[in-house]
Amino acid sequence: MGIPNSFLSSYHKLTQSNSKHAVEGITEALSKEVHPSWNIKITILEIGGFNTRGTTSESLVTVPEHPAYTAPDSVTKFVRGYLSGPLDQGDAHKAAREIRNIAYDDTVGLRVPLGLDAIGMVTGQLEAIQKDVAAAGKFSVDLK
Amino acid sequence: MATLRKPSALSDLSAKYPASQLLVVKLDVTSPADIKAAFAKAIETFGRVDVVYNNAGYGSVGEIEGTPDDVARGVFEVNFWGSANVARETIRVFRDVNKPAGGRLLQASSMAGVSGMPGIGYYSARWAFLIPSSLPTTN
Repeated sequence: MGIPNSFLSSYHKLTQSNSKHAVEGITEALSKEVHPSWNIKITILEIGGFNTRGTTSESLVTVPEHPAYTAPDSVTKFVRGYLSGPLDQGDAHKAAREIRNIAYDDTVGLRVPLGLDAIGMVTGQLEAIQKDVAAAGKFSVDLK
Repeated sequence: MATLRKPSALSDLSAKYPASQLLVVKLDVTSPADIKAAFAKAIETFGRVDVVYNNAGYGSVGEIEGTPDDVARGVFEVNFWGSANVARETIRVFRDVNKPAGGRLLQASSMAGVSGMPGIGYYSARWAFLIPSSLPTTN
């Protein structure tokens, strides 16, 4: 689901638990559990925004706005407006073409961000985590 | 082979291609019995399964505080439990059924699986359709 990176870049720290985090976690664990002799390769596709039925009201469940989140600069208000407007996202047919290519490419890593928006978000998240980890070091210098 | 909840949604493609080229099978990933049956059908028809694209999912939009439990759990039922159950059966088939063993599992996540995105906190995947649902394919 694509939301402009320029908008989201300041919100990378809002790392809330969601169903796709859960998928990433269990898939990474599963990829480490399978024995190499089984000849199984697992790839996580971190998919960016593409025009599909998924962002239409038919597929996207929208719940009523919580009364505490009605400020004009509320981030969730922005997201609601963004998703209800005409979306200018990637071409899903081209994404499907690349997903097929990925399926037959043994050189890819465990994760494949797909779409420039996805690559931007993952890069931003890495930078945010690096910064947090660097700032956290002082609490762990003398814990043994 | 293409799997989805409503096979009629692919009637244009199933009219165009014979079942030997495109086998369309009903699958709701929240049903473990459906998952077993879909893999069994693929093995019966093609002998093995080489690639699984595990893509079923949908999203909810709203404030995390304002999202009712049944809505949030519904998203997880498909996006997490459905995905995990398809993945487990995939690994079993790749290892125990395919001769020789092996296969490729593509797990559809999202850029929101890496970076938590406001407004779609419980969320997930956007395109349950183009390559419909989880899609056992064969060479």
